[in-house]
Amino acid sequence: MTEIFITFFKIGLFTIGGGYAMIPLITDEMTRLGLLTREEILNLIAVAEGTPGPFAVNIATFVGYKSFGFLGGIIATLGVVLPSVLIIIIVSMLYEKIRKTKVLDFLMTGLRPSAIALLFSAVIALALPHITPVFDLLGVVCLIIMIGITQIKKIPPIGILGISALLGIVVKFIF
Amino acid sequence: MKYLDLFITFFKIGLTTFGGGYAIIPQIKETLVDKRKLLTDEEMVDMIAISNATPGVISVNLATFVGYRIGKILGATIATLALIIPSIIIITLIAMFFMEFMKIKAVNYAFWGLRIGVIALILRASISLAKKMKYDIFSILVIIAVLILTVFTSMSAILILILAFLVGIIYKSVYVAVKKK
Repeated sequence: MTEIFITFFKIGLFTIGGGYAMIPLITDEMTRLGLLTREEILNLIAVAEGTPGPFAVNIATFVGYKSFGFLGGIIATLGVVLPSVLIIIIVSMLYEKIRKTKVLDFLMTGLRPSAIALLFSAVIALALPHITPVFDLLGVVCLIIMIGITQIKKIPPIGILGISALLGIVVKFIF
Repeated sequence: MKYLDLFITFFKIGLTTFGGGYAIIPQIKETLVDKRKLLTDEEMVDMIAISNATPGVISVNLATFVGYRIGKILGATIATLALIIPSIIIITLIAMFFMEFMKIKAVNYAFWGLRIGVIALILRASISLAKKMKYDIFSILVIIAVLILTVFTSMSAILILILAFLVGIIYKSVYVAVKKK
């Protein structure tokens, strides 16, 4: 159980720039620890997107629950949330005294580009099983379709998920 | 009573906000700034900037920050807990019945599609994040280095981030020192 707490604490600590930045870390840590398969991770993200509340919390609760039941869910969530709470409290206390944003910019120099690179590599890692070892033509075609649809920027994530769910049902029933 | 306000506000936000950090901002503005006057607009703008720049979940950062501003450590704790409790309950319920749901063919197929949709969404997020960044030689080198490390080594993402953090600090320190001359 402490392992789950520590893992999510690390994930919470290194998530910069929002929920999606968490995905490469989750993918990495969960497969590394053997807690989730790539398929389960994707299922999880879909559920976390479609439910209210912070994305990171949804993911942590789900993984924690799956590994250690109700208590696991709570511990994982507290883990992912604690870095935020601690850092922000410290920043708040010092905020009056120092112009924090310059220091933060300084600290973030290496992290911001890395977060972007990690996101792209997560896309590759998550999409790769559709290509090797077995080439999944159906999957690849649907992926290209969905990528095209997501580029129509007005559609919010929930809409995209709705479309992809329907696409999945239709395509899989036919082929 | 401010602590109750905090709890109720953030509980509602946790229950009704879909789709990521920034969506909670209008709700905070409406309740805490306009209705309850516990926060000013300027303070909100500051908090958003800081929550953005610090690691961690943006909406949790905001909740903690607002909570602290209004009620110190107790306020921060209450706001954060209120935000996350609805999620914990809802997700636990979903997780409990998830396996059973997946046995239904339609649900199973839907999730096949959803997994693909998720990949497309992550790609979209990556592209829009990439567009927002300002690029200099350093950041481009970092991006290339990180891509090489993730694709060709089994180095953990967190280790890579720690390295990037250190390299970033070293680079910035040198840069600033050189600039002063």
